Amino acid sequence: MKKVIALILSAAMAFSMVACGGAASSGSTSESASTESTANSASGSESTASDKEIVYWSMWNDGEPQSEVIKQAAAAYEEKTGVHVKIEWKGRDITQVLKASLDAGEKIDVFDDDFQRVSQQFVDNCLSLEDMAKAAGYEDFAVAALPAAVRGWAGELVAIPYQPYTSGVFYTKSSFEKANITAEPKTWEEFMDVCQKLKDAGYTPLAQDDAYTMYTFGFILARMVGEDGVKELAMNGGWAASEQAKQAAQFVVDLREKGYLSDTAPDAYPNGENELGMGTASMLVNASWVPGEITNNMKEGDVELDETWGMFNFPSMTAQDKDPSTVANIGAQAMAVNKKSEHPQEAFDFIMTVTSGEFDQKMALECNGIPADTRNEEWPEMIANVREAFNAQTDVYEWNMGLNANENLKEAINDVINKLFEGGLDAEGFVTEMDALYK
Amino acid sequence: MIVLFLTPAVLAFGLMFLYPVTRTVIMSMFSVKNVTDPVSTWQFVGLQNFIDIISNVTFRRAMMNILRIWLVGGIFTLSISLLFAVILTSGIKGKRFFRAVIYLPNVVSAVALAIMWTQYVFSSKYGLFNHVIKLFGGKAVNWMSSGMKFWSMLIAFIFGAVGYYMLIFLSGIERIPADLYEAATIDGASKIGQFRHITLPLLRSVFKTNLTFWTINTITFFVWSKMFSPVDSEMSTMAPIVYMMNLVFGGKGITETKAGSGAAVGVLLALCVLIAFTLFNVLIKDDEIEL
Repeated sequence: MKKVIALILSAAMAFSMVACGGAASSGSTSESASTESTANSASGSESTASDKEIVYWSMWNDGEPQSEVIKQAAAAYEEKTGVHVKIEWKGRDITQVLKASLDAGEKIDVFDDDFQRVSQQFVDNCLSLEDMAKAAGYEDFAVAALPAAVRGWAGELVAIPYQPYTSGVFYTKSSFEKANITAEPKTWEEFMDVCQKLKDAGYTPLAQDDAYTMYTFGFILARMVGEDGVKELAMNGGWAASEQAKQAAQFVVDLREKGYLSDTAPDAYPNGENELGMGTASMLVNASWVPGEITNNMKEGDVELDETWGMFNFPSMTAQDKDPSTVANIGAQAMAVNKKSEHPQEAFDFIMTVTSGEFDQKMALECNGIPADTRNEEWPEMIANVREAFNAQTDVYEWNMGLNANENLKEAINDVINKLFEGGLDAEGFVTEMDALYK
Repeated sequence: MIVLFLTPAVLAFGLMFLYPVTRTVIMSMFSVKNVTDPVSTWQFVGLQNFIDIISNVTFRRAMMNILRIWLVGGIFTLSISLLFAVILTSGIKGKRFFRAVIYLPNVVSAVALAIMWTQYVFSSKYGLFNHVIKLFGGKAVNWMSSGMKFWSMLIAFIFGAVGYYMLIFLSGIERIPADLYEAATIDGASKIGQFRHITLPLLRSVFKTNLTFWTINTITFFVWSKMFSPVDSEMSTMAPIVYMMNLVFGGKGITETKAGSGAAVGVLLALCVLIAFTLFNVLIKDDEIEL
């Protein structure tokens, strides 16, 4: 009898496990469906019969302006080719799941992330796009610096950059007008004059968030010693022995002592950049997404910001600078084809649909970004003034201009730079404290 | 038949717990770039990963940060939550209301709470704290400066944690029979005396539970650190789990990954939990009295 009961119980358990398995799998389907889109969901049209499907893992979240443009591009691509595009919106956490999923053989044809990360961290999973790009004439309309950067990291074109950004000093035109500033500064001397005029007009000349102190200091130092020089200092120290490092620190000390930074600088991000939106500060060292970001921040506080934005390249520091003021941190997102993809050409064609022509133009206009396709002449009004500086830029810095090179000390370096901006260190103290990190 | 019943559980345990743990421990002694790299590409380095991370200034700071969170934050959190629990069980009016209010931060997402603290309470210019300081004629404090950020984060963390530990203390105190207090009152014992000689000794096992939870929460400290350094990790708010994430998945502008070193961080943290748990078991005896 006991055996019979045990058998019945075992069978019940087996059934319940199967049932649970079924429920779990249907649950996971519905869960993934919530973050998935297909081309049809954007267009609302009937599905085109095709046995081909490409899967795109996206770094965007469903609902972001970029995702809306991508959905439209996918719908247009499907209508034209009959190839179905299944999109999974992974958001920024894609960085943590992508590598493992690609290695595990998950069906992914196209993926995207920051272009440096794709070109370095995920390069082993990327298909070379050289031949397909050549056949599509990609280089004829690409912003030349972007594929060049990808090749620099990966050795070949493994990803197609899109939605590029550039960096420099952003300012509100209204503050410059009020301070009677007619020309954008090109040298540090001129920059300091501009700061004084802005201060006299009642503005905090330069807003500074704690999250970007390395960015600003990186610019100052890289102008004088070049990105390789910054990397050398970051990797091996020798800050006290470098006259330029001491001078770069002194430039920050001057900003603080002359009252060109706010008393509370560096502010907790994004309080500093919001000062521009609130009209209390005038300039900010950041990237071309910042006007849109500040406008959105203000919108969240129910303030409709009506501001014209100006931008100029980070100025030259000294007559002996290693780099001209036309070098900037330029970046982008990039789309790549999984080297295990069964439909590489279709995947590449989808990428080209998103990153060039009509949808690149839409991406730029609707997301307040820079077009990646040089044939697209129209720039969003918010960053129209960035165009001149962007076109004049001659070379590319990495993020933080080389200060990130030492991954073991990155946070410690950031800490000392924050103290410099806070006014807790003078130039001598700064270089001494920097060198102490290497002991 | 027993085998039939046990097999799924044993398999599930082996696959979902034993295998990852064993793999992580082994991985911590190899040079491995990515978590998914095939074992054939792993290079044995012995304890080098451990030596590297222990000698790393960022990891040391991260450990020091969580030690301070554990000690200073622990003293404040557990003391305040015990105080609230005692007050709420002393027969005050509106007990349910106050209990709900104190527990409320646990219902709100930590992300939302952290934004409230960083953007409103600690704001240098418009923040609540500086507003109050200025009302009393004081000088505004830069709560988010590199020197203050850790302590600001700790204040916010304590605010979010008190309610949880208070509930556990509350349930412990409510288990103590009321007649013990009645007898003590008749014998002339003061409220403080009752707390010292009845409540505290009978809460020993609850203390142990709370200390264990607090230790685990501290060692896995992550969200608050990320929220107080939203763009890039910083020294003042660095926690070992954030450091481990940076090693395993790279960070902003950092594309080199070290899964082996990340595994070593995980093993060290697991050891910390194990040591703490053993110490609590040895040092804090369970209640001798059955309630």
